[in-house]
Amino acid sequence: MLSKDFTQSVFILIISTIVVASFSILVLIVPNLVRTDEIIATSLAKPLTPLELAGRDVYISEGCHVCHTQMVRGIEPEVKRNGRANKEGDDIYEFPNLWGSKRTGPDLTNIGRKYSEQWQRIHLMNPRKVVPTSIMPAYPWLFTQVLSGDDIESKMRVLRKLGVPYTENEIDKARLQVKGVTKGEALIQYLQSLGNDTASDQEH
Amino acid sequence: MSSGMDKYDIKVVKYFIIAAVAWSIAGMLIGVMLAAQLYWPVLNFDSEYIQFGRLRPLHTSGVIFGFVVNMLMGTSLYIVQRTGQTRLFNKSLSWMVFWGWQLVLLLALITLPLGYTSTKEYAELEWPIDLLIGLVWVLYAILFFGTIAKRKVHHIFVSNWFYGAFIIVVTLIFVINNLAMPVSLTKSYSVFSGAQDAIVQWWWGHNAVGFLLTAGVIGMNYYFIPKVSERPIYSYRLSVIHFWGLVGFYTWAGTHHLVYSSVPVWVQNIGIVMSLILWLPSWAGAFNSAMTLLQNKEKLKTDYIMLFFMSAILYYCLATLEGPLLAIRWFNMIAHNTEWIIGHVHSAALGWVGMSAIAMFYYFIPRLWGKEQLWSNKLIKLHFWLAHIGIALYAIALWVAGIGEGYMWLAQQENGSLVYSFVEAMDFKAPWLFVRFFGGACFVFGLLIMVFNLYKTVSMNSSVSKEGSADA
Ligand code: HEC
Ligand code: HEM
Ligand code: HEM
Repeated sequence: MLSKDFTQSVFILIISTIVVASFSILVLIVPNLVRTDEIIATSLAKPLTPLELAGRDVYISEGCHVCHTQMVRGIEPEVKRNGRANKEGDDIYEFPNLWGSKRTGPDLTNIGRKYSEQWQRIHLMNPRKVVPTSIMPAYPWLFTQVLSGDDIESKMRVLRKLGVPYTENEIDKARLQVKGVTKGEALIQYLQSLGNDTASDQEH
Repeated sequence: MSSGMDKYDIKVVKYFIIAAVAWSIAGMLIGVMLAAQLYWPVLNFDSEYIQFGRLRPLHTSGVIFGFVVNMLMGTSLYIVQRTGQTRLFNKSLSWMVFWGWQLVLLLALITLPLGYTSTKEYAELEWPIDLLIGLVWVLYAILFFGTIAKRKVHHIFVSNWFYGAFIIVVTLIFVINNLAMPVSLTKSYSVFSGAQDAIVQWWWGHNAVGFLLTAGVIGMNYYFIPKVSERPIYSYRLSVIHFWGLVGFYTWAGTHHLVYSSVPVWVQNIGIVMSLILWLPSWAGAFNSAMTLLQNKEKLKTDYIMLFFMSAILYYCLATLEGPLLAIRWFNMIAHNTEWIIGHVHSAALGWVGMSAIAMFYYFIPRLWGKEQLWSNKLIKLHFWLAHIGIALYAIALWVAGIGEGYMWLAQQENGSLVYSFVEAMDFKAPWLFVRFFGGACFVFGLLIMVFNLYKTVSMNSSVSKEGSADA
């Protein structure tokens, strides 16, 4: 069988394709996946509170990430515009990453202390109230839909398995913090937290 | 050469092709809707289900998994029979693949507007659907390779290498990228975080492009282009180089999506260098297909199916030149995250994938239903020009919008302060987003004309019309 080539044997076609395509896994993917400890060692990241975590899942579910990035590149004008450039250790608790690929709206990595909660509320209810030409959708329903908090504990447990250091005590208290809060308020708590953990690290 | 449908399993192929046509219209109509929302935000209708954030993944999933995958499954199951002179390995398996895949698409159509998403681009579907995809994909692989194994000719035809690579590599990258830990039936978290997750995500993202939108479509074209031009493939050796060039280099290039990000610089640089290298096999393959068409110059002058294929190849050349360029740091600094990238995506998606598909539909659908002639040549001509105008407007508008906003985001005064606010850049590009909307609408209008023309063709009560003569 091995005297044939990939144009004559389906077996050789399959195997040779797998082998050739897999080199990149070995060189590019695996070496980065085994560096977790090294990356964590440099990190300033703090885990989200239960309410912020619930807000992050609202952000995901509404698809804010398709228009907003959370990755400031280390280029001077970009840092001027969006704040401190991301470092590798910043996102160790970001399961999954929310870097995005399109800046239809501004980068939100460091949006945390830019606006008041009231501004965020008005903006989410109708962006054109504050920016007349804005092409961002309005999200009024976020302020009528209320979170039950039923799944927050299992979310935190899953994240703990993945490496976020939530304590048993925090998990126990989580549901009461989330229950009854509107999606919009949770989302705002999340937005206001963005960039705070790395704010002390401003050398450039 | 008419061998009749009893010799091959044609019915499932027809179903796949119909599904592909339906999803091409649906997916691209959603694209036009997105384009409209970016110009008239009221079109989000204050509805949680169709606001841009939830509609966009439905567009990408619809065109990639609905339109393109249905098309590739259908054509591959046909070509593997024809070129191996054998029936499908197992007929019931083929129906399981068909209905399984339509179920995946139906679930996508329901869950994405409801906001169940993993966020990973082109892999947004939540874990239970991923499991279903995995199952259907394995059945498809067994069906495809099983049919190759029982072929009655010695040699495995070129198209089948590319389809084979498409099936195998998509399996590899899909599994690794979608590894997630479930919270509930509708929610999971990726097992990778931050920078590591981004590397895995773009390793998938770029290879979905490389093996779904590129290798698969190339496989299809290596069969249909020689058929349409009535000439053999120009160079066999070039197709071998093309194949190993793509399989060998594509999987390395994903990190060009992460240039200047916080992943290690060496990881970015591999992506950049491999992108530059990719230009070579890409153009070698394009040359091979173009020469196959050019060997029949007479037909190329008058036949719009030939012209659609030729245009597809030219757009492929454009996208695979623009791609390596975009990977270079200086260009990426400007283009990353801007409309320019969207323009690049769609010159390839509409120009290369779309035009190839259109040419294939016009050639294959009449023959699948036992017809030789199109109902109207005038309409295919009209479609040709609508498609070209549509893509040209789309691409030009987004070059202006993308390069413009990319420049405005970075522009600094003498003293280092920024020249433009974000909102100024957004206002600058607004008219160009309208032009893009108009271009997209032209393209979809052309598709509707195609559907009408093909419908008339198939329901014409002329000619031999024994159900599905396999004379393609
Ligand atoms: C269609 C794309 C789009 C979607 C989807 C979108 N946005 Fe926006 N966003 C924009 C645009 C454009 C702007 C800039 C104009 C403005 O401020 O309204 C913006 C601005 C913002 C700002 C202000 C940023 C700044 O620096 O001034 C915040 C905060 C924000 N969006 C949050 C969100 C959240 C949260 C979501 C999801 C619920 C979301 N956006 C969804 C396009 C979008
Ligand atoms: C007339 C047809 C089409 C129109 C009007 C259209 C429109 C759009 C729009 C408006 C977006 C969102 C861009 C943004 O976020 O700024 C988009 C994204 C996208 N579309 Fe289309 N589209 C069309 C056809 C297609 C086809 C045929 C394909 C693939 C085969 C495709 C693949 C994609 C992809 C992959 C993205 C995501 C790009 C990215 O994240 O960078 N589109 N499209
Ligand atoms: C040699 C070939 C190619 C190379 C080197 C290449 C390179 C690139 C680069 C550098 C980017 C920009 C990444 C960023 O800064 O965000 C990009 C984006 C993209 N390209 Fe290509 N490209 C090639 C061909 C193609 C083809 C043929 C298609 C489609 C059929 C395609 C589809 C896409 C898509 C969908 C994106 C956007 C991804 C996203 O951000 O969501 N590319 N490509």
